[in-house]
Amino acid sequence: MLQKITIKNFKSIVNDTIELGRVNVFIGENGCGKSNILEAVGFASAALEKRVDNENLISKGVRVAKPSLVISNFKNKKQSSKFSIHLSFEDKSVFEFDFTKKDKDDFYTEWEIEKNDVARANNLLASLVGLPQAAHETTKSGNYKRPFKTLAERLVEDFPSWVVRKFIIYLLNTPALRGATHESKKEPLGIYGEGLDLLLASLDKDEMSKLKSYKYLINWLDDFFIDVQNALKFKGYKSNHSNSVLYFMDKHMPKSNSIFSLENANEGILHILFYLAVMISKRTPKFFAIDNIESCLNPHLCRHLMEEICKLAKSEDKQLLITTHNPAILDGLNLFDDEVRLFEVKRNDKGHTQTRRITLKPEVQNDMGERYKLSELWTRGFLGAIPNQF
Amino acid sequence: MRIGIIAEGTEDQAVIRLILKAYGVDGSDIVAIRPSLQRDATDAADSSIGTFQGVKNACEGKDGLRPDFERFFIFPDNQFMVIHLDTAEIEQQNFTFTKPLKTNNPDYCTQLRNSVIDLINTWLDHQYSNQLLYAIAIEEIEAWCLTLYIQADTAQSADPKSKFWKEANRKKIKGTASLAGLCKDFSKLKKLKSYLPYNQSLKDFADSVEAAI
Repeated sequence: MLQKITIKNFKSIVNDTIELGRVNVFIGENGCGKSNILEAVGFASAALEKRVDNENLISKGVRVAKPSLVISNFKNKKQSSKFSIHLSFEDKSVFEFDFTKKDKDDFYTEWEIEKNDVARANNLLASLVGLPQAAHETTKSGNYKRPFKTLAERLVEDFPSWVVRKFIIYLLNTPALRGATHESKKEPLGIYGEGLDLLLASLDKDEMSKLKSYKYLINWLDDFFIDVQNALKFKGYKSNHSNSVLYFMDKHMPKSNSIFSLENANEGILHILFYLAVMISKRTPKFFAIDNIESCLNPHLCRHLMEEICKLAKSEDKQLLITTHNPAILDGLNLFDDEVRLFEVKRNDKGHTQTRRITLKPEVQNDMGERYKLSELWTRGFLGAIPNQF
Repeated sequence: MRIGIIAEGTEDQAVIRLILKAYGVDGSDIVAIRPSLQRDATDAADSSIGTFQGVKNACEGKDGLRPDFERFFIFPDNQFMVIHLDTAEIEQQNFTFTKPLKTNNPDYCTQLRNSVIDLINTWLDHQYSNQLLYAIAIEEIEAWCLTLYIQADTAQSADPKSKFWKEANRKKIKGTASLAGLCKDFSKLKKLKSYLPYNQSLKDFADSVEAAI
């Protein structure tokens, strides 16, 4: 796991160090720099892939801009020629990247990366073994085969740093989840939620069984399935607007007429299925971010979903960075579990983004829930992460 | 370190915020608990939230619970709570309270401040006392602000609020007309220290902040 990240001179972050757990939730007022933290990790991920160009960054969910805007730019402070990201992993490996461009107005060319000796030593083995492109093939049943893995690939996958290469920032939007738009270049699962049906189709039996154990989260849901042959489309079950072949069955409708396409399903179920499938699938990144996890979800559902995500993160060995504006998400976090961490992201008086881990005094552990709820503590301002100018 | 503020009004809160900033507390670490954060649109009619009574209610709590304090201090980063009160109408608000004699009493401000601190601690049942910073403005917080314009003991002013605005208007200060906007110099330590000799209760508060931080 990535244990510590230090970010210097990146967008609103002049100098900040974050000690991460397994599940990391970032809260703060709009524009405080939460997404900048995720994007810094995105840059580091691209650097580990040795491809810090706009296409790769965008595919990871990073917003690109010309260097003069990416490198911290504050009044009364001379702009640096570079920004830096340092990563420290649980196996004690350290990667230190400096990102520069000769022309600060050059939007298009690739960022130049300088690595220090520690990084070079750690990267050596990975660059020696090399990696084949993961070849996804479809079986007759429509399920995705496991991508072919070489011994070398399996070896390097054991390096904690390797998981950062696959880092993605998911920012779901409903049209993408419904298969109506396909803006992301990531395949099969796009950063906006494209390819949800393909992700579900790629789950193996155990994974699908795990996913279906969460059907109870949606009161009306009887079942869901992938129409591999896309035959239902020709029977009038969906319009031509969506490419998705995901269908649902409503337990309150007669069996003979209970099927409908995801175009007609509520937004919430699409978000839930996406998050759970990403957590459960072995094909999705082991380390990823979800920007604004709460969209379209009922507050009570947010709490429960977050609890389940924390459990799945451990059982499926995933590490997450999550941003949210919904207080109910916080009620699903056990801050007495060191693997679950909550951070306030704020701008100080100089406008610099700073991150602060929020902890609770140990003696209040038994009072949490009934007496104190993190959601209420947040909305009432006791834990920070709210605007204070009005 | 984060510091909360329970004050009679939002303008008082803003002035206190400036003083805290002078001692190096970043604005993002100052939590304006009352009155601003405890309001919602439904409660807007509850005029007690931003008054002397509102501060008293927060300190006294209900049924043995003091939610503002308990909730604030369950986070280890939240180390101090500033409690603000103006003394101008304290006897009308609290019938059992008697101010010390003012005439020919050089220690009037200190004695009154200490009495108000005792009153607050009684309300709080003497809890949290080592985590409190007392912003007791003798008469009104405008007496603190008046030090920006008058180099004399501003606690002696009979009506510091009127005098402050009269002086501010006389200086024809352009731009914002908010109290905090006119007192921005309080956020600069050197300037703040130059005003302290002209108001004992301002000095006492500033000294307590300096000692705590």
